Amino acid sequence: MKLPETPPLVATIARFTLRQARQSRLLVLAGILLVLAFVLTGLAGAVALTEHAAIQAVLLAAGLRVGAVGLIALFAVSACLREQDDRTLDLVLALDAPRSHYVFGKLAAFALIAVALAIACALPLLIWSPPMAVAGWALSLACEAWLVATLGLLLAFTFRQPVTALAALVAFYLLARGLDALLLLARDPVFVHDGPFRAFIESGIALIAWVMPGLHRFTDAAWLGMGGFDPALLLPVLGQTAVYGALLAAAAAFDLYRREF
Amino acid sequence: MRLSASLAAARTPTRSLRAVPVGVQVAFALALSAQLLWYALSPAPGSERRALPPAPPVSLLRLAAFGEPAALARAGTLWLQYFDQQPGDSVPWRELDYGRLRAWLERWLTLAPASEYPLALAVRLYGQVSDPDRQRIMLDFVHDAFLERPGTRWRWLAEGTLLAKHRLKDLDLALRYARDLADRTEGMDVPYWARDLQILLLEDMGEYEAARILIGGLLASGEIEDPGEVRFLEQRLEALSRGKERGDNAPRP
Repeated sequence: MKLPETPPLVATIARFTLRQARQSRLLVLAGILLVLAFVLTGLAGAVALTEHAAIQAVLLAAGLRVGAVGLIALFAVSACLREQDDRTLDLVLALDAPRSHYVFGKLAAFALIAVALAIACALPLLIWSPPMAVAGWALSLACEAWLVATLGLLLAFTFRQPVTALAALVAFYLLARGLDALLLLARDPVFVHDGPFRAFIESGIALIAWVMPGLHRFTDAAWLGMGGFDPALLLPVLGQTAVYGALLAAAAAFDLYRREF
Repeated sequence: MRLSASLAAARTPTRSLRAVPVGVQVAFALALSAQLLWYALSPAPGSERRALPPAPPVSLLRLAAFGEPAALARAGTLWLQYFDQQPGDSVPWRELDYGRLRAWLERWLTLAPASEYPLALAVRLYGQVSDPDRQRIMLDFVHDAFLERPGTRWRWLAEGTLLAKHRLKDLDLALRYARDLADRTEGMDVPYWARDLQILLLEDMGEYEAARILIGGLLASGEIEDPGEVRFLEQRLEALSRGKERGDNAPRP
């Protein structure tokens, strides 16, 4: 059986986006992030009485997770907005190819960048954690970074302003990561206030949760600690990535088709 | 220009919904349905001296962790450990509110149940205070934590048992812990010396002897791999041996 060939425009856009990543020194920034995180977590490990390895691995992983996601979000939003501002996008859309090919090309490049970032972040963790746990953590980080980059693409088209798009992305990301805690708080509040406002908050959070990705299940630094890593933890990560990635891609394509450039 | 006109001018021009191919519309509807179905099928889901603040609920700490409860617990445990070393001052353990201290230790243990750090702090740091009431609070915390996971937390109750006997001088409490240690770890991979602590207690051996047996057993078992912890225990063992040779009372850790 012959596999369908990748449309040339998809491959071209993917290559162009990878070149943008190289020119924006994304991997150099990732290297600086690694060094900074290494120094700070080394300090935490030095003051610990016991569990040095677990403390360093867990703190380093948490810092690298935020750093990697921040880097790819900045890159995705700025790259898409620059193409709109310098009219490169107009040239691409004038070609005889569906607009969805632009989205597919971008998503393919973002996936490769996410994998490269995840591998770079995972390598130093091998010092303190078993390879299987680090590999699972890296795969989960790649999925999370890809979802964030895809969201950045959608928000860059929706808002067309860097500050608004990035602010919306940060708010979305924080909400997605703290969603389980918010749901728990709504269900079991610290200060119990019975009234219409509480019901409104509860139902509001519960409704939002339906259309948010469950990032609180992704890339948990505890996988690298003493608790051990169960590969079954990756199943919900991969499932959510496929489902929510498809939703974001469809939404980005939908929005792109409606835009007048 | 009126506000509505300003907003209309600022709005990005868009094409009608008919400009979106049917395939993309169907893909969007299908992807949205898949997300809703995924969520529905997902399982449901925590220089005036400063006093130790009350511990917030686990749910609030989980919110602050933004999906990294283990990382927050590690950082929080370190913060708690160094709380008595406040800038320009050092708070003696006897001035710490041990009720709050226990609550904090419980929170960090709940957020990172695989970590034994809070238990180590309870036994080896805060349990060394010269105040029986405060020692009891720490020992009670260790005992409760052991009952939740006897297979992985037995060694902390073993140390707590010795603390109860030799520092607290409460033989009944020590025996209760030692019996729990033996009863709750039946069939688990726990060495004999830990399960036989109640015999040691009943034979009423010397304080140094029991401590040396426990630490020697811990070191010989090879279960402790952390070099810092091994060094710490070796220093304790050496201090106890020196104390035995001199024949004086237990050296302060």
